[in-house]
Amino acid sequence: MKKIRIAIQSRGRLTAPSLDYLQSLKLLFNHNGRALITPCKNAPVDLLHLRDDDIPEYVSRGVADFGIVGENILLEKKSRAKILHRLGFGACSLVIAVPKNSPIQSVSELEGERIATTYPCILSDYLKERKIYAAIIPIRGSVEITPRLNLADAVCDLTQSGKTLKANQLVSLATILHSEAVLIESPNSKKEKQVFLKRITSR
Amino acid sequence: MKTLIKPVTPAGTRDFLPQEMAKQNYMLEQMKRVFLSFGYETIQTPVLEYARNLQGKYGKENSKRILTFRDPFGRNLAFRYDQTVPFARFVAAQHPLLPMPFKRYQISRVWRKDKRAKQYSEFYQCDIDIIGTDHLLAECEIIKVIATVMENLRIGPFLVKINSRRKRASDEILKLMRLAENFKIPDGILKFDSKLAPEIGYYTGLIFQVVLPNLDLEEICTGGRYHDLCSAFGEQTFSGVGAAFRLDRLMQAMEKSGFFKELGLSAEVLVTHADPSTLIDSLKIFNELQKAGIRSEIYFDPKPLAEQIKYALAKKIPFAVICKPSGAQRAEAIVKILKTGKEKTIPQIQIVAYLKGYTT
Repeated sequence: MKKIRIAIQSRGRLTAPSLDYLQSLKLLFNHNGRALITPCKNAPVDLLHLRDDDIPEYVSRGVADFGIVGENILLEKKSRAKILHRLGFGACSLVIAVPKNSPIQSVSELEGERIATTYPCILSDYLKERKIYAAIIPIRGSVEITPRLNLADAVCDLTQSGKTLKANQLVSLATILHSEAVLIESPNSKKEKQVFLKRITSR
Repeated sequence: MKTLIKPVTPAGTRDFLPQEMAKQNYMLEQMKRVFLSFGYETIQTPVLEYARNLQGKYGKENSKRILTFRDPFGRNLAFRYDQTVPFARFVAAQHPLLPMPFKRYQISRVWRKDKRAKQYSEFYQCDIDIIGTDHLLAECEIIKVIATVMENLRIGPFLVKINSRRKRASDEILKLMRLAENFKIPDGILKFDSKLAPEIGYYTGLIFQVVLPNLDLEEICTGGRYHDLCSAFGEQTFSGVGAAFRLDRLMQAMEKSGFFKELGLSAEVLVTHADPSTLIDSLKIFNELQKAGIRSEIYFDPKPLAEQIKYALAKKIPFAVICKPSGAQRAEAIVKILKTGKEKTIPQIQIVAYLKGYTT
């Protein structure tokens, strides 16, 4: 019988809860934290350990049959993968924030300003919808320091507790997305998928 | 005293200003992009043909509108009246050199005369044709190309009415509908219409017409299957299917959809030059913009800034970059957003990234 593949984040905030979730479906793994593929001990399933922003690509191309990924990443990648379930963990928000002393007081005042973000697609859609025209500065990480360095006037960043924003003296102007971990399914049809789908529904 | 020549064009012809050309070019570029994406090539035939090539091909009344003349060497010539007859002549002459099936698009001007009004007309035609196959997939593809053009131009809902001139019309329509589904031609745009009968006489199989149900306009595209292209020019005939867009009506539809309001002309940025002392900075920024592929221009004379901004507004340029002597010392510049008048001061070195990331 062919195995199915489930992609999860290799190292990050969704790794542990993803493994817990799979365990709750009675899928057992001996994950040593280094392997890129871990076979399941009690079912024809392989676990793929991937960078989180690669997961939508693997799943939409049918290389992985299922994946657990933050909805924020799924939306940013404009993935065709289908959401099967919202998993209730990994909750976070994507917010637009400005320095405490900034003259920018509302989203509409972002016109012409520079906004640094790791989510340029989501941000661009958000701004377009509101007919706000601004300069998006795509950045891979440490978005929160860009205003202090005069690289940006505002940021669009993920926040869980708001601690990082506060530590960098940023205040939120708007939440543009509430996100959580979601289980996604590839568009391919493969009868082996049933093994996993049954476990979800009988849970 | 010098005699001046009146700057007029022959009756029925006219000049086109940049604003009009920008709209027309936008539309044609969108169309060309679709044609190319489906593998259509373009060709060119001369503006002038021997009159005998065109005469007798368009019916008695239309033939009177062919613009013919005798050239200084005594030959009877005619201006291109449409693209189809020259295409037939082209295929008859060049077919050994053409890959078959041959798919071509052609966008060029044609000329006609109106003897009674003593005037001419000069306008664009836009045709696509597939010759050298009689498979229904060719009809399907032409419809798909049309649908893609319509979607890309964002004019709104459209319908492709279809009918057939064959004896067993319903069989053919049914087959086409089935193919269209797998071709992912959008659901519901194909509509069988038994009354559909375009004026064009040479269609012998499937015929179609594109209409915009929400706009008060006549059809914007017609097409169909013909079986003997070239028979006037050679022994060999070619079966083909083609369509012709009515650019004038498409243009009206786009005007009505309001899309053109947002359309700019060429440049996106005017780098101003209000003070000779900042010219070096201005040119540096201008060169960086050019290198980054951002359409930009530099203002030539160091006139007052207001005048330069007026120039940018007249050209619908959305941004102006202003280097101020004080700003230059700190290596900063102002990006002025002309739509709102907002001015944003940023490091000169960030201007390219700023404009590249700007949402549209």
